[in-house]
Amino acid sequence: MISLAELSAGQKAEVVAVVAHGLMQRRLLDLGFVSGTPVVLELRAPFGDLRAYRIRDSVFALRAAESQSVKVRPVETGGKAR
Amino acid sequence: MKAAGSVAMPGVTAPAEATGAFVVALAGNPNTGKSTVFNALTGLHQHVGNWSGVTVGLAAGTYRHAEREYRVVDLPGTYSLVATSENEVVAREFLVFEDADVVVVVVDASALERNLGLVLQIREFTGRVVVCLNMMDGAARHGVQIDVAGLAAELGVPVVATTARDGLGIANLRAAIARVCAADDQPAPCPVHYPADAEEAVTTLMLDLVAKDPALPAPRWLAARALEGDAELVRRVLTGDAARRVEIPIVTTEEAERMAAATTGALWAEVGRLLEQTVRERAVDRPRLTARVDRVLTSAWGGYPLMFVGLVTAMWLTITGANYPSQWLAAALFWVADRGHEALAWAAAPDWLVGVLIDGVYRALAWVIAVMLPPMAIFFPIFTLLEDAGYLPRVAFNMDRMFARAGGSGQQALTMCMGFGCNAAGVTSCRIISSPRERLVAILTNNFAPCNGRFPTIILIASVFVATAFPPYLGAVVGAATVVATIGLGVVATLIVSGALTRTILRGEPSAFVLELPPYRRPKLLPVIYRSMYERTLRVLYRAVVAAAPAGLAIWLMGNTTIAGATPMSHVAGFLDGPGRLLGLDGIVLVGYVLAIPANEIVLPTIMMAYTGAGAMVDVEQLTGLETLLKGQGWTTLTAVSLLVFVVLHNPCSTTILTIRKETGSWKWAGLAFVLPLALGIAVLIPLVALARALGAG
Ligand SMILES: Nc1nc2c(ncn2[C@@H]2O[C@H](COP(=O)(O)OP(=O)(O)OP(=O)(O)O)[C@@H](O)[C@H]2O)c(=O)[nH]1
Ligand SMILES: [Mg+2]
Repeated sequence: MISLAELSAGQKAEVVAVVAHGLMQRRLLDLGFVSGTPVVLELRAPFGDLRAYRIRDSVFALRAAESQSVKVRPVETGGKAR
Repeated sequence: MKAAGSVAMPGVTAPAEATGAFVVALAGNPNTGKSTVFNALTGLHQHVGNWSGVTVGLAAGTYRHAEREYRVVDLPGTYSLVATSENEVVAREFLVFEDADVVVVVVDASALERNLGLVLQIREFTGRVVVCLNMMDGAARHGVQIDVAGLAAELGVPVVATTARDGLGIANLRAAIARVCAADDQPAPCPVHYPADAEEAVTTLMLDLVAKDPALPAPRWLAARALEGDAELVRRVLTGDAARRVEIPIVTTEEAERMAAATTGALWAEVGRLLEQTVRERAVDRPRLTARVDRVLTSAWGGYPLMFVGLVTAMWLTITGANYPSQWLAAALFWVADRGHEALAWAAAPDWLVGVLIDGVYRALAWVIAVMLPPMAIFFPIFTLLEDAGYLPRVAFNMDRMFARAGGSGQQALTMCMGFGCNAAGVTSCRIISSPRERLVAILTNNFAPCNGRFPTIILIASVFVATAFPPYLGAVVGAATVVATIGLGVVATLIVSGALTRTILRGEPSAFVLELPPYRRPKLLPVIYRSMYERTLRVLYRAVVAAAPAGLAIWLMGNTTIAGATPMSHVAGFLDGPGRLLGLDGIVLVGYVLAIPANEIVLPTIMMAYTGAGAMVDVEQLTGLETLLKGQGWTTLTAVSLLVFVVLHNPCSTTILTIRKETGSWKWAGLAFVLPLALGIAVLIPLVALARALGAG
């Protein structure tokens, strides 16, 4: 199990748990970061630690602190997701 | 932008109750087209844009349908009913406490999965719902196929497919709204089933709530919120002494977080089930074009250079394109002034009347229009096109590194972009920043983004003083680069001052934020042109004209009356000349800035009028006379550069100050927002000018 922050470009994964607290936990849950959800690293911002992930038909950018709080399990690629 | 967005909450529904109109609330995730639907329903022109957080306050409008009046309220977008930022609080408060007759949940059909989360949350809470399945065109393009009737059956409420931007499906939406409003029996809220222990806790509290207050709406939803730690919300909903009698269990943070994970987990599981039932075909990847363009526009090698080249190009187009129309306009308007002179002379009007009307008020107006209209009419459509295509969130994405360094929120780049339009709107848009501390930083620094009202000054100085020093084919490019450098100065000031604030009086941990990157959308040309003209250009022009007339009058009076042997203008300008020179400017420029506090738009016209009205007999019949006039007043390149710096680094206009007062609730912050940029401008200019003079300039 790794965190979102450790995904490489285009790598697919599945959310295992969110280990954030307070408003951040709430926000991540509301965006759909719950156990079993597929997520892909789409983009990295030039220079900074901002990363954009595709999840549930949308793309959201998170900073490193937030990315690290989402634990994921990488999944083998190939075949259609769901 | 501000006017409609800042309507206070009670004002939105009060008239509706008085007139017996039905209240229709437009809710939904950010950037799903709520404001577009609102505009289609009401025929109004709420601001829309392809990024999350365009609408930050409530806006209301009405329409009639089958002899009944409907009052529509456009809410800010929200990812959930558990609000985390100020704009979401506005939406949540309205949904929970204002009791709309129907909640229209606007859903982006091309991102159905994410959107259904909020639909289910709202369904948990009320049955009076219409789902507006918007952006059907986008869904079709991405090959998404939705079983609309099946979705309606599953959700138990009407679902209407629309493409609001083209006005498709709006008639059906009106009909569905009417049906729900007219229905006597209110469909029950539709619960989501939670895992066993969460379910048990929620049910226990719910039964207690119902026992104490049988009339309580949505008790199950309220119970779940209370167990997630928001007991306050339940207390506020409960009426009378029920509030005292109900015992809301005290939950620890840990329990609350566990409950939140359980309820949202269940919610998303239900979304998954719904999708399986109702979506036949779904897109697996992002739209290919969006993915490709993003890889270029946010790349390490291309992100910043392309941003820079784009800005220079936009400015180059503005400068080159505005040049001749401005001259024609000036010629035409001053021709009219001459005819006015003749007419008044023929009517034997007294000299002072001619002076006040033509040389004072009319000439100020003519200046404002000739100087401001053409560049705005070019720049704003370009800006609006970029905004509609979806470029602004990419700017925020690229620049996050710098804002993070400065301790600011990633969203601050967006509020800064709004500030380029109007600083008052920029300050209001800071509501999308959830951390109060970072929001305050963004508010206090918004003024460093030069607004609409200041662009004409920058553009004019750049093209008159900088561009003319180069051969014509280079001039426009150099002028554009100068404008961009001036904007760059504003960005640098934003970052430095943000950094200074977050390291001193506004210290604290950086808060979490998420930035949505919507797919690029092909802007529709006509609405873009209409909107940039109506919403931006004409509004700015109006503000300028309204401020220019009295300023013109004041300047004429100051320049044409005498107190103690000299005009008031020469007294004041003489008094301010010393400080003005220290800043590389002069007394008249400072007078211009004082008179322009109500609207930055009129700085340059005011200065011109002051020069001509205060005895300099240069007749500025055309724009080409501008350079001659200014040089005749002793302007040098140093004066121009100092003015460009001062345009960015000086106090906000009075509207912005009042907005800051309103948004922060304190005159202290408003005062700081006034003093801070001015002090910075002075601190930068005095040594800079002294150094330049020591080196032999100006
Ligand atoms: N293709 C397409 N685009 C649309 C449609 N409706 C709206 N848009 C575009 O979607 C973007 C968002 O529209 P808005 O009306 O500002 O969205 P909103 O929900 O009010 O956004 P917030 O106020 O930020 O919550 C704009 O660029 C619109 O032009 C539609 O039916 N089809
Ligand atoms: Mg909106």
